[in-house]
Amino acid sequence: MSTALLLFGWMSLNGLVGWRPDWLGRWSSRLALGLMLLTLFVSEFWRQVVNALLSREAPLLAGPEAAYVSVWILVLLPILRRRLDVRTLSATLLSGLTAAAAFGLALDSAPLITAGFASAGLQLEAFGQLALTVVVHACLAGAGLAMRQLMEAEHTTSICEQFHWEYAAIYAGLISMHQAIA
Amino acid sequence: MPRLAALALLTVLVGVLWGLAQAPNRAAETGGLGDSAEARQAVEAWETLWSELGERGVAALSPTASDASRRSAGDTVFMRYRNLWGRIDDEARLAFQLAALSGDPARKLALIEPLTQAEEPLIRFRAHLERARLQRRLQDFESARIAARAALAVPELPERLRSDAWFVLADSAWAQDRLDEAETALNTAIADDPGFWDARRLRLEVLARRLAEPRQRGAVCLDRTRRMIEDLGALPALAEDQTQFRDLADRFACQGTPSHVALALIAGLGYRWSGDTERARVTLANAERLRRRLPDGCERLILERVSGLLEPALAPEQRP
Repeated sequence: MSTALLLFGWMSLNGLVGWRPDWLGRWSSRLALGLMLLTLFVSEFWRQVVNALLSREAPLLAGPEAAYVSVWILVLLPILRRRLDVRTLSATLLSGLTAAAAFGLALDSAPLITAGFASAGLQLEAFGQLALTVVVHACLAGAGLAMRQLMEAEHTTSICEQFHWEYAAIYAGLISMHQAIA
Repeated sequence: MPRLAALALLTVLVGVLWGLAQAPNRAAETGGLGDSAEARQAVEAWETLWSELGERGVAALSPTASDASRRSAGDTVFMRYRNLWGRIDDEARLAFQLAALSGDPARKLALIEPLTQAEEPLIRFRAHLERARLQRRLQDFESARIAARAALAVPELPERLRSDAWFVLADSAWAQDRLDEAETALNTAIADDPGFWDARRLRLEVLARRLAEPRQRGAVCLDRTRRMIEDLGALPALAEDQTQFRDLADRFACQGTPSHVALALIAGLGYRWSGDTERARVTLANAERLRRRLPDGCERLILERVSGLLEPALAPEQRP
């Protein structure tokens, strides 16, 4: 149930900002930040990851080395360009947390939909499962990117001014870390 | 961008709500293990195991022999294979033979050492694995683990060879009390080669200790119990020796008091499959008194099966 509520929260925030940008005003970035943190704390998947780490069970995520180097290079681009200020650091951190929240939400919601199919008597084939997972990840990755841009809205006039490469890279990295274990 | 995201989220939300509406009571379906994908998989595998046991009995657990060139047991790892080293070059073969004939461990190691640099991956693998076994025998478990890892790192090997390297790794880790590593290595070894007697025997011991550890997740506990049952059923079939059921059951029922319900179930099944129904009944009936040592959901599912096993034993018309 918490997954559905979180999805509803994400959707209404994105919808409000999308159709009535002036209603929320400066609150949109704070709301996005709060919602992202709440998602991280409530997410079933991340709770399991932490539990597994604490109790030294088999981990649910492989280490960062499981993702391709090319993925992390995108995150490290600012360091390569020697732009090492607090703003870059906090922007990367925000992107990482948002990507983690969106990724956890996607992993929580995909099995719920699959289980719905299963109990309705429709057995999804392997391809159907894969397609469903890909669609859910695509939706959540997009929503996470939108949320990430909402958090910037205070500083820039246009929301679409900057594309967050590090967000996309971290999301891709999380997917390959998850794939490496599964 | 936010509009598109809102529309995309709407579709996911509708899907999730529909899923929730279709399956209102899924927490009950996993028997109190929670609602994660892991718990569902664990419960599903557990139910499959028991329905197969119900249909075909212990025979359901005997591994199918897929590869005729592999034996299930042998006193050294390399005796499990037929015609394994057919295409090895003469120089390397002579070195291996001299090493095998030598009585001095230091000389054996000296003979094998240069072969770990060989071009041919098969020779390199064999040299690393021989070294791992030698170090293991010399009780130098750390070097044995390193050598086994080096063997596993050799590329382009036939998959069937790897399970032995995993086993040597697990055995050294077990001797060093690294249960976590031993368990993972054994799971891999058995997944590669379900008919590996020694790996299954060692996994029974490792899992029994792992189950007794505090703070494990319910799903993990259930998976471990299921693997123990699979191993228990497979071992006598692999050795073609039905008396092993009794030995294994005695092992886990040591002094008549297993330490938790999973071990009681294993011991009870062992006695039952060895034909000693009376002893099986006593062991299983004692399981009720061993509550509160495993995660709740896992314990409940195990006890359900225990009482399921006790019922037909009590019914008078089914008594032999």
